[in-house]
Amino acid sequence: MSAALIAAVAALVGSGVYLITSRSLSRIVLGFSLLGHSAVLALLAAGGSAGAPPIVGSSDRAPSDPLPQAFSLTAIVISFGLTLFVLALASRQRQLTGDDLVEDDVEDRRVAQLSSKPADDRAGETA
Amino acid sequence: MNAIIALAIVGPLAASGVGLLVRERHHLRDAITLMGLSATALAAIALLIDVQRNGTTVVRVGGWDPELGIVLVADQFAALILVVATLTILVVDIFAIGQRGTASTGDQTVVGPMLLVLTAGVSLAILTGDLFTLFVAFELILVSSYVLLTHQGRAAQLRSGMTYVVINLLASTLFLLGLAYVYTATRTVNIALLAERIPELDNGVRLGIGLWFLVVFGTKAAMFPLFSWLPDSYPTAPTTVTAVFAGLLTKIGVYVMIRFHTLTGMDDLGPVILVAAGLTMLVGVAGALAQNDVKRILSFHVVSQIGYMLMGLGLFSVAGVAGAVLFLVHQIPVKTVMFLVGGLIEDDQGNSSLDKVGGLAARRPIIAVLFAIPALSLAGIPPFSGFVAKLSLIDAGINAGSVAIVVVALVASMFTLLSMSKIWLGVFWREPTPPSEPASSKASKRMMNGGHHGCCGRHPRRRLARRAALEHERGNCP
Amino acid sequence: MSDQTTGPSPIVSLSVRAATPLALVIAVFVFFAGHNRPGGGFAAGLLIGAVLVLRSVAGFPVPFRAIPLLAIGTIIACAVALAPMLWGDVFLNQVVVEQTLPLLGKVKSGSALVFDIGVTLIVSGLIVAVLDGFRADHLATPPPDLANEKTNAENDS
Repeated sequence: MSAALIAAVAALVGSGVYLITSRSLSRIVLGFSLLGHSAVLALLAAGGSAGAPPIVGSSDRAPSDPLPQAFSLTAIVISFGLTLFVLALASRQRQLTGDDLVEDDVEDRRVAQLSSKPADDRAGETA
Repeated sequence: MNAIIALAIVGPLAASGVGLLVRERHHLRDAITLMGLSATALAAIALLIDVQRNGTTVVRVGGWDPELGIVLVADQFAALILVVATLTILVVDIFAIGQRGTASTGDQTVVGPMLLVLTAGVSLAILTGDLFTLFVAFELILVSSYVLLTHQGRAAQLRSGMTYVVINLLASTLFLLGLAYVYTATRTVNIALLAERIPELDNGVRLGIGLWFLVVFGTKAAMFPLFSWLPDSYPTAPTTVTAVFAGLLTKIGVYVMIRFHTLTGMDDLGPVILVAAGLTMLVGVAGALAQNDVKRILSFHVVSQIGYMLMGLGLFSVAGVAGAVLFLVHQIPVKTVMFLVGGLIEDDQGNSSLDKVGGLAARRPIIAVLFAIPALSLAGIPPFSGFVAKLSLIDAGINAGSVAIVVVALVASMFTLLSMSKIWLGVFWREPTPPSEPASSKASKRMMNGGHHGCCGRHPRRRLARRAALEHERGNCP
Repeated sequence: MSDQTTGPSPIVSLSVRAATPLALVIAVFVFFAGHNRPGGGFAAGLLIGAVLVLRSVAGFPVPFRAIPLLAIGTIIACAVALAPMLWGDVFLNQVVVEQTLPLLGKVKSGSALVFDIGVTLIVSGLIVAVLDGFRADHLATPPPDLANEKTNAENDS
């Protein structure tokens, strides 16, 4: 069972990373959902082979490891909250600029231009 | 002692709840924030004294077995950093209340309660004894820092906030995947148990875990080459927020790295960490030299100084780690104070760009002195704390025979001094270069905008209008 | 959101109105089941949040404000976490009470239940906050200073 889980983790991480390299925040949000799922699946795989529900006395079979399940639950809750936050950011960005693209840093561009210009031009450049 | 450890974590969280309830009543809210932060700082001091006397304290939360439950551990290192961190946040909150309504403070109805949540996260990150609670603590810190960074909702903050949020979310996901990795290999996430089990692992797995967490914590700590989010996102936030971030957040990453990598015996990673440390110092300081705005210069120095702490860790000797701890304790307050002074400059001049301010030493000698002391300390001039910290690191480096990193550290230190004198000349000494006409009108327009962002607006707008007039005058008579 | 010109469809608003009490009853059930079966404060909070989202889609107003829910939830959870220390126990320790009540029979409960109330309040408060954030009427048109800032940024580039 682990091989399938690990293949799923790999596929999710791959598509998640691809999506977050995009400039559009809505794609980034989708990418993070996928990455969050991949992390939860990885934790599930870390728990070892499946067993009975980890509740004492619920079954005769050996219970599965409860700790990774607790981790997954916490991770799901946290990624739920953060997804909402990033969505709110995206909607705010849309209100401000009309789209949800991440923009370039103005100051970065200024420094980049500095290096490509002769020194005596610099006085006017920063204005 | 149980009570004090619990108070340091749950206390600020509860205070943030109360603060949110009364957030519209300014005095009451500020009083609650101050009380919450002071109580946390006092708890931290009591903890430090107790740990000094009676040794390490361990709390099993809810009485669970350490294999299953959450463990909080307070040893001397943790208690020391906790004291410095909580006192620093307390000071920043006092600054925020004192400067209320200027451009350097955000919306106090948000900043106060969120600083408390941040404090709870910082305490938890410092005191936790297992990796998963560390993850939760990081998330607590990050969530409050996202809000602090973007709560004013301005376009520039939103842009830089997104970089910050996306990078940190990615680091958090990597952290979770790393946790799965560690748990598969060792069946535990308790750091004390990991310290026993990780050294027994196969060499490849062990180094894999070490490198993985180097990347995760290195992103939080802004280590080369994972630092680019920091100078991008820090300068746009209100000064009080930037000061806390610059002083604390990256240092928590370093703290955790020192914890994890020394306890689990990752000595083989020493050379990797040393190379990263040297590059962090050089690239950070080079970035600072290229910048022209006080807050941006200081942000790059945050990166550069991280290199020194990493150097102490990378040496993996007792003297090296001791030097790194000393540097950590020196950096948190110094960096915070420098950013607060940057905020004072911005409040006074309406701008923190080196081209637009100048001659402040004559008009505001107090700000000049407040800047000079941490600046000299940052550059490592005796008799300030930076000198002692750097000396101990360099001494440890020479004793460990790593001459290359010592040379790099000294070179970076010289450039730091150069960069500090650039700020000194630009802000305090030289008269501002007369800006050309269109630039002046734009600058004053921007300053007027600054006035609207303040939360009450009344006071700063008057001040800023006066300053805008001044600026205009200067533009006309060069 | 609801169709502005014609108002919400009567079918939607009627079915949302019918679903509300059902979902709330399930939320209460899930909340109490959480002690040793699947469920608990978080799930109950999500269900309440789902009801609020449905109602807001159908055009009903949200009956609570976010900040008080978040604040009171945090205070309750923190108080329960700290309470055991008053009688010298470890913090976050829980007390389990078991007694026989009329009608209900044997009931097992504990201080974790109170903690869960805090969690429920926080989760539903979060969802109300997000609803507010997405609607955000006061942000729909950026204030003039923001518009200026944007043009400044464009001029700089």
